[in-house]
Formats: sequence, C-alpha cells, structure tokens
Amino acid sequence: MSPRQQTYYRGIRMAPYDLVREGLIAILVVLVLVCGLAAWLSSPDEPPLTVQHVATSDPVTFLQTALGELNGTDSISTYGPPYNSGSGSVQSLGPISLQRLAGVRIPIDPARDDVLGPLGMVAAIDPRAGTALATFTAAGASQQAAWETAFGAALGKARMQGQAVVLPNGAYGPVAPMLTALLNLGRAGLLEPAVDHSDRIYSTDNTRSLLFLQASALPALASQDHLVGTQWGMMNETGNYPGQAWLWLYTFWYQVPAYASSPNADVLVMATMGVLTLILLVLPWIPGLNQLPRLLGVYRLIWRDYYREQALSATVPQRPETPAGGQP
Amino acid sequence: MNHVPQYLHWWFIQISVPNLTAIGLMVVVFALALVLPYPRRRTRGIGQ
Amino acid sequence: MNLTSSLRNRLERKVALEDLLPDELPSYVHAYVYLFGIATIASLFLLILSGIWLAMAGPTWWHVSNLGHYVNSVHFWCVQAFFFFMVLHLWTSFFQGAWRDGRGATWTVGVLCFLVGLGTAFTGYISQQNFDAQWIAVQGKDALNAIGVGAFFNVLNFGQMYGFHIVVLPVAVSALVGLHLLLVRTHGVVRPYPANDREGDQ
Repeated sequence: MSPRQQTYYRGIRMAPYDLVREGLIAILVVLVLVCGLAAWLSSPDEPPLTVQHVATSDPVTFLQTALGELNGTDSISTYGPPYNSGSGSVQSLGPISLQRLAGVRIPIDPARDDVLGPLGMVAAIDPRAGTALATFTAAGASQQAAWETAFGAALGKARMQGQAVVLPNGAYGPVAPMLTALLNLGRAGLLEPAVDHSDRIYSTDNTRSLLFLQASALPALASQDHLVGTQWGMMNETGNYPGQAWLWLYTFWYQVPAYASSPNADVLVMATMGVLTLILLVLPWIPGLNQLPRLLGVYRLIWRDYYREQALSATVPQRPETPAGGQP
Repeated sequence: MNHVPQYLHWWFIQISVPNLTAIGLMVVVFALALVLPYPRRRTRGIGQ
Repeated sequence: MNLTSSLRNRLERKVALEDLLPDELPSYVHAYVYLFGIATIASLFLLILSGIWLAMAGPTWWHVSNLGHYVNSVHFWCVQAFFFFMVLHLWTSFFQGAWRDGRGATWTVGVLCFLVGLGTAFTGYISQQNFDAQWIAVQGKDALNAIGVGAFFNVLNFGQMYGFHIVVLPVAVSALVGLHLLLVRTHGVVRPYPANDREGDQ
C-alpha cells in the first residue's frame, strides 16, 4: 500500500484480499448466470414489419400512406428539420429551437423519394406505369391536386375484392394507376430496396423506408405490444421479456399530462432529464444532497461490523498503532 | 416466450410482469446483500 | 520539456502499483455490497466477448442460426446483468457517500459510465434489424430531432448506429470504466462515515 493510502487507512484493520481471483470468480458466476438464462429463456426477435406485409394485408393503409406522401400532407413532408423546412414537428424551449438550429441535414422529400422515384424505376418494366407517371408530371399543380383529392376521398369508400382494392368511379387521372403500380411494387417486396438503394446500391441507411412505415403501420403494431409512449413503452420489450427498465424515469415524464399534451413534449422531457442528470453528475458538490446518505443511515447497515469492532476496541486497552495502521 | 406479457396497472403506472420481476429482484438482492452476513474466514490484521 | 518523462513522473507520483493491485484491503470490504462493482465489470467483459462473436458473424447471423440466436441471447442477458449490477453498485455507492474524501471525480466518472452505457444499449437495440429496432428508431428519432441531435445522429441509419454500437461506444465505455477503476484504486475505497454523527465528513 502506498504511503498516501497507509495514512488514509490509519486506525482501520486491513485484511487479505485477492482482487484478481475475485474478478475471475465474478466472470465465472456471471457467465454461468447469463448462459443459463440464455438457454432457458432465449431472447426476443419479433420479425420486422415490411412494406410487403402492409401492402398485402392492409392495402388501403398502404395507399393512404403513399397518397399522403405524394400530396405532401403526411407527417414527414411537413416535419421540419432535419428532413425539410416544414414546421409540423418542430419543437422549441421558449425562444430556442435546437431542432431549427441544427438545420436540414437529412433531406427527405417523400413524394420524390417514396413515390415518384420508385415509379420511375417501375416505368422501365411497366409501360403503363411509365405513361401514368409522365401524364402526372406533365400536369399542372392544381390538376395534380384535384386527382389526389378525388383519390383520397375514394379511399375512404374503398372495399376489398379478393386482393384488389375496389374504388367507386371517379376522376383520379393517372394517380390510380400510379399508386396501383406502387402497391404492386410493395407487394413484390421491392419498395424498401427501391427507396433505400436508389442513390447508392450498397447503402446501409434505412431512413426512407422506415419513415414510410412510421405513419400508421408501425404504431398500430407497437400499440399491441405496449410499446407506445403513453403505455410506458420505452421500458418495454416485445415478447415476455424484461425491457429497458432503467429508462423508467425517462418514460415516466411522458405519462405526466403537462408534458404529454405539449407540442414540445420531447424537448421538455429531454430538458428535465438533462437537469436531473447534471444533478446526479455533480451530486458530490451539492450541499444538502451530498449529506443525504449520512441522514438516511443505510451506511450503518453496510458497515455494522466495522462499527461494532470500533466500539469493542474502544473499550479494550490498545497497543500503540503500527505505521501501517493495523490493530492487534 | 414471444407472446405479449401480462401488464399490471396501478394508479397511472403500467408495468410488465418481466420488468416488475427485474426491478423486484434488484430490491431483494440489494436488501439481502445488506443484511446477509459475509462468510468470515480467520482474518488477521497486519502489523502483529 | 520531455513529454515522455513528465508523463512518467506524473504517473509515478499518482499511481502506485501496490495500490492498483493490492493484496489487502480494509476489513469492511468483506461485505456482499462490495461485489456489485466487480459483477458489473464481469457483465461488461462478457458483453464485449459475446458482442465480438456477434460482430464477427455479421448482423444477420443471429436471425438465421440457432447458435447465433443463442449467442445473441447471452448478449441480451449480459445487458440485463450489466444494468442490474450497475444500479445496485450505484445504490451502494450512494448510501456510502462514496464521493467523500476527494473521491468526487470517481463518482462523476461512474455516472458517465452509466450514461454512455445507456447510449450503447440504445444503439444496440436499434441495431437488431427486427420490429423492436424499427419501433425504437422511429420513436427515438422524434426526441433526438427535437434537441437538434437527430441531424447528426440518425437513428434510422443502420450503418451509423451499428458503427456506434460495436466500435465508438464500447471504446468509450471501456475507457470510462478503466478510468473509474484507476480512480477507485489510486484513492482506495472510502472510509466509513465516522461513528460519531456530529463529525464532518468532507
């Protein structure tokens, strides 16, 4: 022991200790524990939701999502930074919006990325889709809007006939064959590759395809698994498994109406957790708080043997202390 | 194990049985660690 | 000034090998609560080993192989063990007032280990390439976008998240845990509160 520590521990009985052996035993014990748990309980692996699944099992939702992206009314088209300069999901704390300050660094244009772009690829193998696309892009904005509005209204009255989505007659122009072609692309399992790999064939970035699914398909499934924010979802896991229980305090704030109902809910929660985290970091220097352990007294339980020894040795005549602070 | 777990509701708190088990186990293990006597071997101080 | 010799002299002053690897400790360390720290480190060690195995086989392996799924399960339960023991270690250190006598930095570095560990777990969950990963990503993006972080840390970008999870954050956690251990060993474990409550302890 260094002289500094000898001085610090003066008056305290030392005992032999083997840190390396303790470390090895700890590794062995934890290894047995985790290998046993892994063999007994395995781990969750709920398969990802695919656009193919949505296009096949719920084509109306698919078409509504695609239409929303085409006419720019979906939540991503109006989101704001980092995707675009909208304001639908921009949050601020008072006058400061870190979201705006960060800027548009992940440019997403759902109409181009998720609808028109993939249809351009489909056009190479499906001439009818190509013709519809050409008709659409050549038309003026107000004509496009008229077709989109009519199609959107019709989707509300859609019915299924086998696998086909049947709409009432209407003036949908090229929008109907365009989105039908997109639906078929989705059913073939090719929408994700078309949107995620259109720029770079080996991209590992799933931003566009995930944003396509996040509108309604993912939340619907998440709700069944109790993963939604108002269900303390952040703590939870798919299947009968523990989740991230350590996020309890973070997810707690989303259950507080004042936070949950605010348009700036996320920034408020982050700010609150930021302050609490700062307090935890500098706890040793916060007067009052740093006295809590002494006041709570749990330390008396932790060190009860030491205190008992000290009390006993106080009643027994002492030999002079050795420099290393050992006791007889 | 892939079925949706049971959720317990108390006041505004919703917690899954696996999470409650994990947290409960933490409290129990901590309490046991506080109160269980550590096996004592014949210790010797230094400087005898 | 010779940087090498000044670093060596600094280390010689501050770090004694007999403190890094002592063969005796204060007798009060013989208590179960003192095992939570090493249990946390053991969990981290096994997390890294199982993680290396998963990384060597690639991110798809555990979805298509029984052995891969088992190794992933070990990795999953190591995460649970890591946070389980780390929180118990935090509770212990708190109730001991373990920051006393100049050990404030040890506490702060410990909290940083916890925080970076949270980030490592988060990026790990996002790297699973399953439904849970999809959901955590699309949910997490809103909170991170709201504070301007999402523009630089894109939770929907698998490549970026995977890179953070298997390289950047494990290195950060390991460095912080190493620093935490160095501080614990060079200062030594904190003394008990004085039996007489009226004495100060800072």
